[in-house]
Amino acid sequence: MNRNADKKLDDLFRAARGFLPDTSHREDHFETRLLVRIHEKRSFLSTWLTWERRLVPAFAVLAIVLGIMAWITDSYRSPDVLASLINNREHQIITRYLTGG
Amino acid sequence: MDKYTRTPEDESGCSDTFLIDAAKGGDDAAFTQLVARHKHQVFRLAAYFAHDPYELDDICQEVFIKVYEHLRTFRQEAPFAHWLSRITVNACHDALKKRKRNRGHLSLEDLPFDIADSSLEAADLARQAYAILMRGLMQLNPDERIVITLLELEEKSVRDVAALTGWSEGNVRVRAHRARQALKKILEGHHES
Repeated sequence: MNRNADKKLDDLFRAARGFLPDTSHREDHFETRLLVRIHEKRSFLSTWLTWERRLVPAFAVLAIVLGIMAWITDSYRSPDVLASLINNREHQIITRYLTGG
Repeated sequence: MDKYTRTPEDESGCSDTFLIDAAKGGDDAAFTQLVARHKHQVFRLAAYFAHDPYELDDICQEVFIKVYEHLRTFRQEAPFAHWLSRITVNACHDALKKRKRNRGHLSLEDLPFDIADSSLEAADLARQAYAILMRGLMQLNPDERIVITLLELEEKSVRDVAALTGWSEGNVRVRAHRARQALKKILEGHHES
C-alpha cells in the first residue's frame, strides 16, 4: 500500500515536471521596475544621510552651549560664600550684624 | 549549471565577471545587463513558490536588490548563477514563512505563469498533475516545501539542495522524507474526496 502511494507520488512528480512555467510575460520590463525600486531606496537613504549630516553640527553647537552655560552657572556659586560656610564665617557675619559688633 | 541557465557570455562577448566588476564600480547599465541575462533562472525557480503574479514579481525584485546590495561581497570563486540560486532559494523560503499556510483551493487561474507546451493533451495532463501537486505543496511547511520542490521538480541532488539552503545533507534528507509522507497523506485525502 505504501509502495503504491510512493509510486503514485513519483508518477505525479514525473507528470508535473512536464509542465513548463512560462514566465516571459512577467519578465517583460522587469529591469525597469527593478531599477526604479533601487533608485527609490538609494534616494531615501541619501535623504536620511543628508539630514543626519545637517543635524550633527547643530547638536555639536548645542552641546557646546550647554557646556558653557553649565560652566557659567558653576562660577556664580561664589567661592567666598562656600569658604564662609566651611570656615563658619557666614555665621560670624550674621552674629556681628545682630550684635553690632 | 542546469538547462535553463544561459552560458556566461552573450553575443557581445561580455562575461559575467566583466559585468560584475563594472556593476561593483557603480555601472547601472552593466548591472541591468546582468539582470537581463539571469532573470529567467530566478523567475522560473520563484514561480514554484509564488502565490500570484505580484508576489512572483516581488520575490524576483527582492532577489536582485539583495544581489545589488551584496555584490561587493561576491568573490567570484563559484559561478554567479550558483550564488544567485542560493539567494533565490532564501528569498522564496522567506516568502513562504511570511505567508500563513494556505489550506484553500488553488485555481489554475491563480498560477503566476502560463503554459508553454504547445501539445494540448500533454499540456493538459501536466497542468492537472501540477495543480494537484501545488495543492499538496501549499499545505507543507516552508522547509519541507523548499526541499521537495528542489529535489523532485528541479531534480537537484541532495548535495545541491544542501548547498542552496545552507542545511546539512542529513537535514535535507529528513525534510524530504517528511515532505513525502505528508504529501502522500494529503493526496490520499484528495483522492478519497
